Amino acid sequence: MSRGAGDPWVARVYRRSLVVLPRAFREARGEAMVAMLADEWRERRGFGRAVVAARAGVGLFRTAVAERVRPSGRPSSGPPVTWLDLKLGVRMLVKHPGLTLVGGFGIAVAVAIGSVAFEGISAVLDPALPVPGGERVVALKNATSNVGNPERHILHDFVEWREELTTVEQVGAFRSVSRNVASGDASGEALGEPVVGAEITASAFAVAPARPLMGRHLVPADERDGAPDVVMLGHDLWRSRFGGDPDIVGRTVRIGGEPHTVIGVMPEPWRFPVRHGFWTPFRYDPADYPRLEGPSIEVFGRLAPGVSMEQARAELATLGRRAAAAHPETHADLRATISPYTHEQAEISHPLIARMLRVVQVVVSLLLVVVCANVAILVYARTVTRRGEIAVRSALGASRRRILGHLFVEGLVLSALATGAGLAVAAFALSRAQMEVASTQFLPYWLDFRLSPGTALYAAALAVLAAFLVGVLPGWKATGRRLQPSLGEVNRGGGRPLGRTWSALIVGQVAVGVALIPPTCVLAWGMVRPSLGDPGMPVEEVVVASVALAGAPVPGGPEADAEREAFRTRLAARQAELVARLEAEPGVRTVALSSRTPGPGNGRPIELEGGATLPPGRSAPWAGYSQVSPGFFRVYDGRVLAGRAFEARDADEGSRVVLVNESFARQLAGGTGVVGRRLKYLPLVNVAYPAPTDVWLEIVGVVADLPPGPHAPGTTTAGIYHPVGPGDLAGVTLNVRTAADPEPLVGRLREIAAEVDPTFQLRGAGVLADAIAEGRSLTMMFVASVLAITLAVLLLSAAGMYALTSFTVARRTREIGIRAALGAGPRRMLAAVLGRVALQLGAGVAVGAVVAGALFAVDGFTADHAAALLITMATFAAVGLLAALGPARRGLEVQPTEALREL
Amino acid sequence: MPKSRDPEGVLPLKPKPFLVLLVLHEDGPLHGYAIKKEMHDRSGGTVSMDPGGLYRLIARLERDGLLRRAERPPEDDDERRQYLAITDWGREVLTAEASRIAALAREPSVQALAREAR
Repeated sequence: MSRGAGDPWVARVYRRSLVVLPRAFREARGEAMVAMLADEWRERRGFGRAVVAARAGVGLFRTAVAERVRPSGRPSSGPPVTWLDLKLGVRMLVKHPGLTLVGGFGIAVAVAIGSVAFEGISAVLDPALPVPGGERVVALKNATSNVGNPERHILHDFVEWREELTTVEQVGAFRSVSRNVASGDASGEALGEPVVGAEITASAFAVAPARPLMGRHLVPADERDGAPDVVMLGHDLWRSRFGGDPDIVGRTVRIGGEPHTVIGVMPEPWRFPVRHGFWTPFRYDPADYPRLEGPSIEVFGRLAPGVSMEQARAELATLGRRAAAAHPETHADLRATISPYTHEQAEISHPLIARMLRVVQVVVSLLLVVVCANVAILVYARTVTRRGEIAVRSALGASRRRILGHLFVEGLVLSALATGAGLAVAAFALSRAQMEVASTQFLPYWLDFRLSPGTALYAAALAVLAAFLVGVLPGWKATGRRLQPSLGEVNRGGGRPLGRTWSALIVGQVAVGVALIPPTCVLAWGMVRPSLGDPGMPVEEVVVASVALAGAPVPGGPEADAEREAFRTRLAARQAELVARLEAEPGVRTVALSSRTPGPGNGRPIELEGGATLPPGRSAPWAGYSQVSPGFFRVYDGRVLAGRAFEARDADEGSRVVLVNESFARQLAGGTGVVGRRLKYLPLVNVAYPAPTDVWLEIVGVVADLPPGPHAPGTTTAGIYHPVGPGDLAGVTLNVRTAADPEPLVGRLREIAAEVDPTFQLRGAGVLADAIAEGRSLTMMFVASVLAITLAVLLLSAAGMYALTSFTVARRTREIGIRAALGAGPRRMLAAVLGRVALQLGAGVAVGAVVAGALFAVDGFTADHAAALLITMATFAAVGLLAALGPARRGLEVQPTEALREL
Repeated sequence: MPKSRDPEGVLPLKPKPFLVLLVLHEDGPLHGYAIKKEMHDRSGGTVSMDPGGLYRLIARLERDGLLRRAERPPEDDDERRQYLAITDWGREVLTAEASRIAALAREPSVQALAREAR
């Protein structure tokens, strides 16, 4: 029978598919395999034939892969890696210190960033509270159409859910309160920082079970009207305010000035429901409030045994629909929902947010892939120069698998060392982040950003991936058939050029660097610049503190209006007295109230009478607002540039005057006079305003910018000031300008506040210069990360140029020698050598500049942007050329006789 | 080529190589499809190899000296079919493996396990 004649169609197709096999195997066994398939096909019928064909197809591809990984014709060459590979890998690191340092630094930076992002996002996404069965603790809420702003006045809904839900047990609620905490006999004691506590139902201790360190926890009887006022203390509060008193249970302490009996102390780190320092009974009766009024509360519970989240969600949705039908005036637009408790507190209860965070984790990991691609270029160049060594090893019987195993170990040694360094940096950064978390009162207590074993494993996986990218991929290419030199070529020292892939990678690397570094540096510079040098304000002479008065009435209560008016009267009197007492202190020059310290306020769209200049990207002019008392500008040496400053009468109710700053006049009014013109705010949904949006406000003066100088990009620099007096703002910032050392005034401020009203709550009292310095540290960490990445990209680019030029010079040694022998001048030869480098550098810089320009154009191209782009382009060009110069000059030193000897 | 002349050094054999050697030992030189059919029958239908997998296995056994190419019988006119035969070395290894299996099968604990499995 002739070859293939009479074969069924499946055998003919199979024969064509044999191309996937390695040639040696195909030539030795291919036709026999076709014959076998044809034989089996002829014996089968119907469905059996389909099975034969399918098995043959799958088996063919499996065989193709297996043959490439471990050819059957070669004797087994032992394990692919040995301890000797490890030793040689270390030796290679020492032999090529430049590559080790540059590549190691790049990988370390990528691993550090990847690990920090992985740990941070994993901590936030973990759905389990750190208590037994923590993953079954849930949050219940009434969502509104305004995502991220659920309805919190849900006292009626809470009671109904507690009574009717069967899929969720131990339904409870809490209200966060901020109170001064002092010992029972604390008369005259200076105010400490207020503590955030929770008015909470007793079911909290069943939902998040933890045995008290001493005493007992709250029980339902504590919630009854008329029950004694009791409090549980958190471990941290017990130690810091009460010295860890072992006899604290049964003692009386003052919570917001009111005596409470301590019934227990909770152990570390328990701070349920979020990060609360003390717990008092929840004593709100829905009968006292209309629907959607009353205290702002949050509701939690625990899934009943055997119940899934979906079942609970369905039951709660049914109750929600029933409420909407029974109370359409309040509940028509509400949607009762349930989500993992930790996700609700981390504000990621929407599944899309969790998915986006996972995507961010993956994207940040890809940074390592980008860095490793760069390092792989350098390693590839090094591997190609070792082709002679590879040829000899191959001739002595080493399989490709064995050689690749060796290269993998070389890459693993580099990546393992770099990963270790990157993990160390990540551990440091994460421990700093954890310190920041621990010092805030807002982030959940269960968030633990410290380096976990899971993240260390992740980093180890990154190290293996890096070793594969850096060791195996370049080695695969360098040991491919087309690149395998014969032993003869080894002696002649010839070689193939590094092809288009190399060029594309170099151009791409430079382009990415030029495209991304300028916007990142402009952003970082904008964050850093305001804190550099002279702030332009007397920050060393100003003491600031946030001041609030406890006892604000719960909205919607039976006598809400009267309580509100009484509170406002009390607030105005207390704030006025506090200001007066401070102004009477020796060394105090001026005291002012404000809604914030000097800086860009919340931006709002406005309308300016007579028209305004529109900023790029905006459809209406925007300005930030602040509310200040008349003495504010004296505190900060603010100058009035036109018109007048605020007077005491401007703070009266019904006043419709404002001041604007210099930036407002310049940006929105083109520098023309604005005094006497009017402005009004344009309304946005669910946003607070300092004045009604339908009222025109007269500009009575222009003041110099505070703080002076350029602001960070993206912030609203045009500013509007509204006059306020005592009682206008429930929470104010106190600004006290001193003529003497401000430090003693901080303690004195606390004493005076306690004397005026012990329920005053003081936060962040201190010298303004110290507050600015503290806020700078996180900014500097971000800037340090940006600098590290920038340096890594620059170093990798420089190393790439260096390697390319070295290889080019090595390859063209004979040509250089011949040119020199024929009398070519050094300048001409240098140009010839550097020509390719300059071309690739130029292409990368040009592409990167276009992309960077497009990114900047989104918000408007400014002088800062142009400077950043030009500096980056010049830096890349200079670094690239300098890196190439060394090998190029070495090439020029080649003697013609030496070069010609190689012919 | 065999790594050592002691068949014990090559043991244990995996089931498929063992079956291939057994088939060729008992039935003489066979081509690929015939080997596959015999393996299928002797294993009670549990072993079924595709052409790629079988010829890869045959290549390894040839490399290790357990099989050799045999002449195609004159009545077979398809010159593509490759006939394989077991070598003396292959027979030694097969015998050693069969003895090992038989010795295991005689172990009381192994017999008890087999009875439980039934």
